[in-house]
Amino acid sequence: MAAVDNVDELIEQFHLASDEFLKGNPEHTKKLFSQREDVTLANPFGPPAYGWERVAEVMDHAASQVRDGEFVGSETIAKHVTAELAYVVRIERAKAKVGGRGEITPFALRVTMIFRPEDGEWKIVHRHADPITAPRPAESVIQE
Amino acid sequence: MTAINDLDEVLEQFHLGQDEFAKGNPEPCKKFFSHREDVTLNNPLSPPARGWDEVAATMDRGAAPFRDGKFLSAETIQKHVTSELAYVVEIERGEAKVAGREEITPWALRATMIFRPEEGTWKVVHRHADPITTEQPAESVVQG
Repeated sequence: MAAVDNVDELIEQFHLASDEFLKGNPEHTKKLFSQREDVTLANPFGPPAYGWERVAEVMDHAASQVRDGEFVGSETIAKHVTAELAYVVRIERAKAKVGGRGEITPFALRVTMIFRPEDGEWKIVHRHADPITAPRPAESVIQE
Repeated sequence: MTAINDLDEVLEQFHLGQDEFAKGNPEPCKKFFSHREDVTLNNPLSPPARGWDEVAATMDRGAAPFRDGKFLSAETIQKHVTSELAYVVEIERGEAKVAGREEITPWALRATMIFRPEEGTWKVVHRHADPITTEQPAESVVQG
């Protein structure tokens, strides 16, 4: 089915773009996102952003926090494609110098991405990523 | 195609279910999930769960540390509905006694929920929730 192939192709492009992102360059990744007003990004570094302008700013900030990295691989947990909307749930593995750290450190993100066709091309309309890949204490949800 | 009831109504009922969840009872929330093998849950306390048995067990463990709580509010950031899939991005706020704490403390989650029509109603096929509602240090991704 063509739609599935195209989503797979977008995911493949996302991997290549992530490799650049982890070197501090968000521009390739940005091209894969919808640039409309209803795009949303819930990245690991801060609260959800919505609207292209704000999402782009958040991506710039996130990319400025990673250096000398590379995308290592991903593990798909679920994938569902329909004509108008598709999503994937997965673990992404990467390594990079993060924030103030001088050494390259491996890390993993659990990710939900939602895709939509726009003018015949699948785009990312929502990405939700956090580093929760191992059990955490209940107190971690308390807002302090 | 079977008529599907209103997503807003399902969301409102899900939030009522979360009021019970904050009291330690996961059962009302469970009813809103698909019980099929491709259902997935990224809750704030555990790595991704897939398949109804694993998702239900994760919800049991998730509710266990919460007592005497309530659901306070949901702020919708984005909502998109198509005939085959729908999603919502929201901030959810509540309060509860969490784990060993004797005092009621506020909690906040950012959540992505994806719904699919099953037997005339919208069912949650994926939920991703984490407590990242404020700025986090970049290094937080390598400590997960």
